Amino acid sequence: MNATTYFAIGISGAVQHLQGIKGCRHVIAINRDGGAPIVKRADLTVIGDAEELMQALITRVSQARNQGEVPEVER
Amino acid sequence: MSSALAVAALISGGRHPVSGAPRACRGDAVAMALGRRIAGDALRVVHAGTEQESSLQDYLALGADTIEVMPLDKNGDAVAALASHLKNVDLILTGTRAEFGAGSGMLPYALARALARPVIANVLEARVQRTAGDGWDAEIRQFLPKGQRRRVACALPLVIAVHPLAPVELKYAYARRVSGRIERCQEPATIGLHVMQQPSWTVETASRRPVRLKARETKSAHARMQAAVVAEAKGGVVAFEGTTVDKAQVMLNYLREHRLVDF
Repeated sequence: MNATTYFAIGISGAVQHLQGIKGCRHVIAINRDGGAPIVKRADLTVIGDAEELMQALITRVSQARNQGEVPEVER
Repeated sequence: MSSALAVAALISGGRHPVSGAPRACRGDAVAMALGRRIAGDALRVVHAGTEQESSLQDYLALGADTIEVMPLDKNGDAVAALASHLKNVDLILTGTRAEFGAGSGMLPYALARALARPVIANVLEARVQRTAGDGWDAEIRQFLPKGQRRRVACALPLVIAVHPLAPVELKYAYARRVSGRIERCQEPATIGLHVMQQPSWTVETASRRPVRLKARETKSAHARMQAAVVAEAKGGVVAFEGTTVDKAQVMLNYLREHRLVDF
């Protein structure tokens, strides 16, 4: 796979899987297990329940869109 | 060229690979056996050098009736001495290489050059036939790698280096060892002492360096694959703490930071 951003949601990171996502630029992992192999590969790992976190992310993203937030990060 | 075929086999002393005990050099014994198949009892067996009796007696046991020994000192030029001694021999058989000493395997080539004769290496079988004239023709089967063989025909005189795998039967008979004779021919040793031809080698004892042992890695294929995949990864930021909302913010920050979203 050759994606710019890859969300590994509830993916522990089997060897084959890691090999498959070798070409991805940004890997963001959501996992309950902090010792999973994907943690070593991911650029950002969030520890927690995948479903709850995705709900929170969706809420946060739609909120940010609706309010037309200006990102704090400088462009 | 004489009408009778003159064949000579050159022999050198061998050493047992483990004990170092003097014995017949196997390659030369094979060459001698091949020569006996061609010439029978008329085969001349020649040794140039200072080999001990015991290893030469092995050749007597393996089929030589008489061994002609040309005494040479350590720096004597065997090639020139042999060339002058074997001028009138039609077919000269040698082994491929000596079992100890310099063992360069150059003797058949150097001898052929000194006698201005063709040389054929890695010979497995040889048959000699009389030609229409008064000459002799040799038909030779030559060893090539990977089971290949080559048939070569060449007119005598000739030097052939016999391959160690030549199919000959070596029979050891103690009675022959006792009854055979070793004759020393008093050729003038100074004849062929070409100092310039001697290789300018210096002999020194080999210094043995300690070899560092490396423990063998016994890892499973899975572990090796894992190492190959994970080794490149450096490991990124891990968000352990905070509420679900905080963590969602962390993700959004990451996306914004890398300009993966435009809001």
